[in-house]
Amino acid sequence: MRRVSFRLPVDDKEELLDALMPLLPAGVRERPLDGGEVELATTAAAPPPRAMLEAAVGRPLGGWREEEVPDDWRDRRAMFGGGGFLVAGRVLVRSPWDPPAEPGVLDLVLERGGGGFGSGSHATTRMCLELLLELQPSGGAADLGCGLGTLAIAAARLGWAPVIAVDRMEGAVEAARANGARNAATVDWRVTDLESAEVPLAGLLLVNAPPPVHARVASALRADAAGAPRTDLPAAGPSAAATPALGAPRHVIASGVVPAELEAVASDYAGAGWDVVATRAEDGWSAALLEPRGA
Amino acid sequence: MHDDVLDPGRAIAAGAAFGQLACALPGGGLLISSSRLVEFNVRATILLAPGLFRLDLTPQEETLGLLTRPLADHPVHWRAEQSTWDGYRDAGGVAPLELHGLFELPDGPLACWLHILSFTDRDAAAVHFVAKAELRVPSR
Repeated sequence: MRRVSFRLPVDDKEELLDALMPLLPAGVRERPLDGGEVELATTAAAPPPRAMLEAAVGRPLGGWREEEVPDDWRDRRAMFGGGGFLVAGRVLVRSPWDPPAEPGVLDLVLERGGGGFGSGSHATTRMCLELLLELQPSGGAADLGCGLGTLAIAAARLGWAPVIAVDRMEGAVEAARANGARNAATVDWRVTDLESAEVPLAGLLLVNAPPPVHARVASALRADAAGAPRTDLPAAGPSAAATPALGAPRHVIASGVVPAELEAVASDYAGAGWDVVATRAEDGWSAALLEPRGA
Repeated sequence: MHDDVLDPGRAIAAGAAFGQLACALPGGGLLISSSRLVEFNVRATILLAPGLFRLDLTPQEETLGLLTRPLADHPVHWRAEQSTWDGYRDAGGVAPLELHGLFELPDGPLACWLHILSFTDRDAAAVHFVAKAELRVPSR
């Protein structure tokens, strides 16, 4: 395989791609560079010649580089990356095949499996991590609908403890448990369907899930505020007795919703006495940080 | 204008480098189709309708970047089927992504129906796409 890369000014990129994209069947991988430029790279058995591409755009292509690269995508990932997502410059969520994080950046290595969600490629995961990074770790956390375990693992690694994570998909919880071990994160992983089981509460609730799950969480918060008996864990299990209390709810990080759904979800939480204190929007999705009114 | 943008020869020439096929539709109109294996986080052109739009897809593990890039200044309106927003992540489903476009050309509107099937191959960190676009003068 051969890899060809070159640079384009960000401001002209889309116009130049009008001429280039039809000539690059393998597509392009984009990497932002300093100085208002972007690197475009294409990998193919026989990439188009430089002269053809320069003729198409009517100008020289700066930073032209052509090299032989491994055939296996894993080896190419190890060389060039391309599967990791840096959040707020502080957390890198990546696959085991991507290069490790720079020093000082929390390096989370996630492998997909079991149909679980949370590899970092989706905006909701990244926005939840951004909001999580704004909080000072103090006390327990619960990841409700944990998928691959990304948010629970990040919370545990950032200093929240104890951390519990639940998902209704057994395969996802299995993958999350493996990811937890891979990242040396202490998390109590559970298979629980939040649409029917009691919702575990904690000082920090991470809820990257569809609106019906938010409605259940809001309902549990309302009951908690009314003095109903607490259920810190979804069901008595082998580790239930050993899991300390997760603390009174103080923060909810909510996502998994589009902007049109956020208002209704926020209204559910408002009914429980919780208000939105920060929001994020990216790629057609929304996220919010909520806290008890008057906190 | 319609004759130009519905010319199969022009569409074949424009998409020759990535193997795009095109033919006239019975009753008038143009069908363009193409297939491709695209690695995660790579942006690739799947369909190219000269003078109208280019369709670029950027598959990721849990989401799909989809860009309908206009290739002229005519107003165009796109809408997606509701199932399209949820379909890509559902590994168990085989429902296609569908978009409907309406181009307001000087000699009248032109309707576009985009149809994209995808199959994710996680072991290859890539997605197979089969896409087609039907372009027709809408019936009154």
